[in-house]
Amino acid sequence: MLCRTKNNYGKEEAEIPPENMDLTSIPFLIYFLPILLILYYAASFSAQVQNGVLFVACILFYAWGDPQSIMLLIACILLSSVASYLIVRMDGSMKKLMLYVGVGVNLFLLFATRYMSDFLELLGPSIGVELHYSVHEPLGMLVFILHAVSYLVDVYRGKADTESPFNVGIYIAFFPFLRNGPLLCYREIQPQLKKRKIDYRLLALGACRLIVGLAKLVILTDRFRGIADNVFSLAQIDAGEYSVPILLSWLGIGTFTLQIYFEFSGYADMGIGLAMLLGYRVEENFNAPYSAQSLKDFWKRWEVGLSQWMSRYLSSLFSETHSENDDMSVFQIFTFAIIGLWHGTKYTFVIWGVINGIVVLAESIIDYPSQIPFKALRRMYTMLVVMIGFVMFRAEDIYQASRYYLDMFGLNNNGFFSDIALRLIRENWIYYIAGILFCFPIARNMNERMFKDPSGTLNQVMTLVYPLAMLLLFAICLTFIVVGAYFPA
Amino acid sequence: MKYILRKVVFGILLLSILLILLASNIGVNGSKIIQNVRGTRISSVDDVKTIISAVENTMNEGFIGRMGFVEAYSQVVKLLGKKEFSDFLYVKDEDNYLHTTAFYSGFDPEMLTYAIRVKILQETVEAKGGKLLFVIPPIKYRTGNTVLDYGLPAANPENKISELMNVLTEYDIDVIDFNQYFPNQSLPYQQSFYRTERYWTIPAAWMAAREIAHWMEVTKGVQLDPDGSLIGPSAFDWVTYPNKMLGTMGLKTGKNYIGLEDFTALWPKDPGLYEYLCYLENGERNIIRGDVYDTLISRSTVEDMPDSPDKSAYTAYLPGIYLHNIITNRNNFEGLRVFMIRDSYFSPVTVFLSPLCGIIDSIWSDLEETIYQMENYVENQEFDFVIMQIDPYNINADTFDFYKEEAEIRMDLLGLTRTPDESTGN
Repeated sequence: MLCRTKNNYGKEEAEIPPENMDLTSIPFLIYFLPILLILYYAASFSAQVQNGVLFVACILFYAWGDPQSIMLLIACILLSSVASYLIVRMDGSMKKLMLYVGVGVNLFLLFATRYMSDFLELLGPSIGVELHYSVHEPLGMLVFILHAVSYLVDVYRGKADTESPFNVGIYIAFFPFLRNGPLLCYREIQPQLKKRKIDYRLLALGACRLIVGLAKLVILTDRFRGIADNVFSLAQIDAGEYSVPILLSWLGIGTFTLQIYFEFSGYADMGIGLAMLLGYRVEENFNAPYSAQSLKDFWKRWEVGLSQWMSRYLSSLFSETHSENDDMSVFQIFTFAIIGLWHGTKYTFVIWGVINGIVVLAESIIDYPSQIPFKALRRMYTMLVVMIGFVMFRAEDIYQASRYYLDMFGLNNNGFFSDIALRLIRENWIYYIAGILFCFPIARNMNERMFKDPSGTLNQVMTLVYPLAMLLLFAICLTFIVVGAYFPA
Repeated sequence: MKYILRKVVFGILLLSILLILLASNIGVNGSKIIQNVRGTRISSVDDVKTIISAVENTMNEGFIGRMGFVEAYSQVVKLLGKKEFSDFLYVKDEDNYLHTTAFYSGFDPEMLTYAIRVKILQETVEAKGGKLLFVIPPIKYRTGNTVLDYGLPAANPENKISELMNVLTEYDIDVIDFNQYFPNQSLPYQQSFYRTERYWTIPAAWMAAREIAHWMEVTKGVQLDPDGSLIGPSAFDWVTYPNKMLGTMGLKTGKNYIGLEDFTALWPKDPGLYEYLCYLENGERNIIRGDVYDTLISRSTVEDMPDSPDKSAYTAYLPGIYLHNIITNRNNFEGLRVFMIRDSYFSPVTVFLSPLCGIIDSIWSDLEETIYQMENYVENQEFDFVIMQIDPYNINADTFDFYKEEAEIRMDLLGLTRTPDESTGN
């Protein structure tokens, strides 16, 4: 079946449980989702009953294929509930201590399940000892731990009230966002946990977002991933045996740039769509990042939820503990390193984060992107920096990344032309056209222009065509999913 | 018109379709899903996982109109003129043959290690009085014959195969590389390989079986089929079924994309008498007794094949994948005892060799569960022949996942250099 790897973006990973329920799978789309919606809407007479249905759905989604990890999730929910209960009932240093304990234990769980193994692997050689530690990382561990931290900090700061373990559970394990975010800040979601209004507009918008996200994932992401993975595999071959030609290396990283956008924004669209179908309103996570005119601008548009989480919890923690005169630049780079760690456990992610941090810092200090004439050139500069960063993001290690950089700039005894690159374009031109069209806000801009004249013919035709076009898109998605899940004996 | 109207219309349509799909799929698969849940006793978390996996399988495989979706996709891919299918899973050559894909098939530094592992297997077999034969079936990609459009990356393990064959021969292991036999004058390329299947044709498998029988005769100094009534050309009815073949590759691409092809079957004239014992994955055993058509060959798979095949006609020979199966020739109890480490390439070969042997005991070569058991099995049983057949497209550490520690010790003793990867045990 279509098995999206979990936060590894094609990199090798020790253990990937294939049975975890995926938002793009037949069990989810054809069974889980309709049944949930029937039960959820049937329970609309009571918000509490609805929450009950949603909580059970979250637990089921989580437990599917990974039942042993359910105890960890429940432990996290209970721990956060107890800690928040104590935080609001204590004062001064005890209150702070409770926060530290709650956040500390949660972060320890995260470190132990997600990062410890790679950390020890890295540490071992430097102290001359072979350190081995292997533990299964549960699905969505990162998301639910950071949700738990958000909950505790918001309660501590008085930005939000405590909730019953039930509601805390829904927030922490909210299944639409469990796999790949976006991260939700507790203070924003809390009012909706108790009261939310489901109207037909929200449901309609949710249904459309769901299918758009699904299409991004099953039609575009999977195709781009296949291409990028193959090119990066070629780049791993020993230098003496094969060097990736310039054309192919640029095609590879360009394709990966498309893949990563459609993967992240596809999950975000599906998550936001599902949340809307359940009556929740959630902020956007992407705002046409590939149209950015500087890297700083890019980070305002890319994974907005993550940036917001960082600024609300990490940056403010720094501001609380440091004076105004302290140099923020080191902290800014540190924040980007943490953003790198959010994406994966390998050190290459940290390096990617640091590269981004340094460039953003440089842009802030010198503001050189504004000196570049023409919007188009500024955008090209931004894309170039983003793509160069993504080489490190995608590479298995520094060696592969450095070889890939040499390939890109023709410094690896590699030629320019590649028949594989031409073949990849020849076979996938339709995906590339769709990918380029939809990663820039072309469709959105066209939509906006059309609505300037609501009674215009084009707009009226669109009203008739739109539902059919979306249904066709859904049928195409279903076809891709069914074909992907078909393994003839 | 209002912006939201179009979205509302789509929302209603989508939710209605989801409900229809839910109801119809539950109608078809509901009882099987309940069976999946009730069929397994839960005594550990692994049992829960097994249930979930079975339920998910049922949901996927039982999806209503699945083949319709596959064929629709197949048609679209054809209309787009694509020469690769499903993210370069397969590529199509100029003669409309499907090939597995490999963007790169590089040098494998562990060939020596594999050879030493096979050598230890050979010594173990010979210590019990048996003989080992290592076999590689032919690959479909033929340099000089296969023509691909520019940039299409078909898998071509020719170099790996010859590298492995060289090192095995150096260690005095009997090998048959069927790439040297096929195609040949009596069986040209078109008759040696299917367009839509990765395995060789049934006639090619038959010729290979005769070659192996000849090796057995020479090695053991016996005559297994002096008058050719068991494995000679006249021992079979040769029947060609037009448009009955859509191999596993073709099933994946859909017939719209690649089209059907003819299937030539060799049906044994002598029905024989056999016992076919299969060990299932859940540990249960399944025994069938009867003639060759009751036990080893399913003629109906070919003869009753629908116009849109739902399985490969190739599976008529020893249908199903069993971790371990034993064929006993009840007309020749005292015949040769053969142990095979094999996969689907050898399903028809096994059928063709069955009348010549007393027992053919087989395990699947690329399954971790069986290959681990193999060491003990070979040490504790007595066989006249052990035939190890591997998938020519999968020459890697997983295929040679046996006698690892012994091989490591042997290499240390011989002072042979090991690659860094071997410290991980692979």
